[in-house]
Amino acid sequence: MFGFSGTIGQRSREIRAGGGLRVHLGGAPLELVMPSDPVRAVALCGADLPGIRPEFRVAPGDTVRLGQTVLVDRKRPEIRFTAPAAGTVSQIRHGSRRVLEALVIETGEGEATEFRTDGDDPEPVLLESGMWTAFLTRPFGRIPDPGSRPHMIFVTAMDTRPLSPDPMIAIEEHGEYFRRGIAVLSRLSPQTIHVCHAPGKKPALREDRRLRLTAFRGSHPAGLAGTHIHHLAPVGNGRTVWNIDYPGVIAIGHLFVHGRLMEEKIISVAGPGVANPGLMRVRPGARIADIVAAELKDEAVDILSGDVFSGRRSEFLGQRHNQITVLADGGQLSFGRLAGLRARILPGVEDTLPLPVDALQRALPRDIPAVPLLRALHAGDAIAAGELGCLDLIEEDLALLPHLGLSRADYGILLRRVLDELSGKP
Amino acid sequence: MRPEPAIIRVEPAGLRSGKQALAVDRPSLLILLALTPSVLVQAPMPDFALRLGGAILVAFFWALLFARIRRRPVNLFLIPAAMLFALLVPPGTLWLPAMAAFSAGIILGEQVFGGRGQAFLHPAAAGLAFLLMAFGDATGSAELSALPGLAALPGIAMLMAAGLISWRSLAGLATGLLVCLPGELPAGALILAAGFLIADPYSSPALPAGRLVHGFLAGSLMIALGGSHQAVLLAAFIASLAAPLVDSAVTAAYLRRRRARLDRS
Repeated sequence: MFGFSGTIGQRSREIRAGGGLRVHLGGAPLELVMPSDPVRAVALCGADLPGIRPEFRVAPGDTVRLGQTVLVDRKRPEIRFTAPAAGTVSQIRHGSRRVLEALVIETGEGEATEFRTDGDDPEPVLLESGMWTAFLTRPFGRIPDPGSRPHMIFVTAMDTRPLSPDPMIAIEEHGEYFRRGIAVLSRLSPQTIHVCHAPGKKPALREDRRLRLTAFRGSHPAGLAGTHIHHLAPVGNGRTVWNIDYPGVIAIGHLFVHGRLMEEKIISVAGPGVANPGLMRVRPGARIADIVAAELKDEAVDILSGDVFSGRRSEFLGQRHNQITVLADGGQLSFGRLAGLRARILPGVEDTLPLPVDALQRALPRDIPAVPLLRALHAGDAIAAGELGCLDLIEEDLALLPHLGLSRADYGILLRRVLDELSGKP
Repeated sequence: MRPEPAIIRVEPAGLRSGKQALAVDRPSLLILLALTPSVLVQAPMPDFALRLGGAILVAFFWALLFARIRRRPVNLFLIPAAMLFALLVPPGTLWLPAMAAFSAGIILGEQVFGGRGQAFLHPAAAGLAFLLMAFGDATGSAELSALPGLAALPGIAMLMAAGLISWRSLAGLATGLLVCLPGELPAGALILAAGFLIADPYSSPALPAGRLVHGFLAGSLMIALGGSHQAVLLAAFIASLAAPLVDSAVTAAYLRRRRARLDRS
């Protein structure tokens, strides 16, 4: 199961996550960071508030500073979400069933909130600045409770999503922030911190007993936190780990170096519908139209915040998204060998259990028994799904499945139902 | 391009009015295509046309009946299943017992479980096993020639390339056969059974590791049962009966490993 290899460095170890699916999409980004066109609006997206009922601290028309609290969680008011840019709140948009869609801020001149970062415990600053929301727990994929501490922290410093930017570009450019961010994490929790990186792309960090670097080899989903957690420290038995991605660590480092929120992020703008696919320096939460308008080809049809599997149609860049994918008309997702299976499945068979072919196994973290897990999810059997390892996973880990063309059941929704049942929260 | 969430069940048009739609799914279509050359090659043989026609009618009758009761569409898979049954029935078998056995195979092997996708047995494999066990006297003792098997090889290669059948099943089977040192094996029956019964995604275990075990089991059973045409069919049937057991053993081994990992980390 574990393939240990590599003798360079004492703890340099590599896990062959195996399997995975190579995706050919076209429009791969050049590794050159360009500035984006000016962004005139940013937003907090409702989709980035997992399990949170927002209580607003601003109203449309208010001017806000960078880092000012705009909303808090109704149940846990210590958890704050802060403005990613200074400006004026232009609208608070609700979708169906009055769920928050986006809190939009027209960017303008304004000051930045200064945070005092000299305390012993980083938690108050993280909560106050909104950076606490960069963490997600496993199981359940929620923002951790204030005051709670994880059994381990997983830093995702690799990205196998199709057309994603190479994390090392941001990590090397912001090396100081990244190291500082890791140091903050180690002050936050006395437990082990796992930094998971791509083979041969090891961040410059000094390993010790508590800081472990592990390389994961393989195609997508080898780079997802679900795979890393599944291989290194499966959760369950009341044990919780936290996950944070490398931009989150860099932003925390920036916060502790300068005392204010970071105002940029390196993302990829790529896909078959983009004229010059490449990397861009953008504001967090930026309006996607402002960034990509000049880059779109005529045949561009679909603009996603995030990757082709787990991304979403959205007007704004998601908090945890490091890429914008533009799909083009007639462009087919192709899995190479599997191309023959990309079926137009007729209605009536589309939400059934998928055909149990080997590709299912490759779309999930290796050695999670794919078919028994999917069967349990279909049946809503929370106990069985939990035993099989669904606690290690969140929606994005199953996002490949519908694209195999075997079943169009939405496993994200099925998984969330089971996770809700296991967490005891509706 | 991106699938919409399909959590709401969409009923196929025609069901409400009592008509059963035919669900043409890509996998069944590919299996049908893969089997077509064998059927064409076998067509001039005496009795074959009658047997194939009968098998398709029998399959349609039961599929339609169950589809009506369940208000689900009829699955195209019944046609390749009937083709496979007609090909693998030992030459010389009487027509009526063969059709009775296929009926039993369809009902007990597939439809009582909810049809293709829910059943763990292949209707053709179940029908053939039923034939050999219940109508032994009526069963012919001649063997299928190698030609239909060879004609199926490109189709089997296509199914593998499409990812529909697993190389693990076939590798396990080959290992099982080699370990048991076979003498003569009926090539036609062996190839058809390997590609369409043993490697069938639904009648083999669902987990990759289980597929190796299952293939091995089928291969060694073929030799143990005597290496005849009948032995090949029975071995395929018994191995697919064992498939759920193999799956649960593989899952149990995984759960043990996971618990160990939970304790260790």
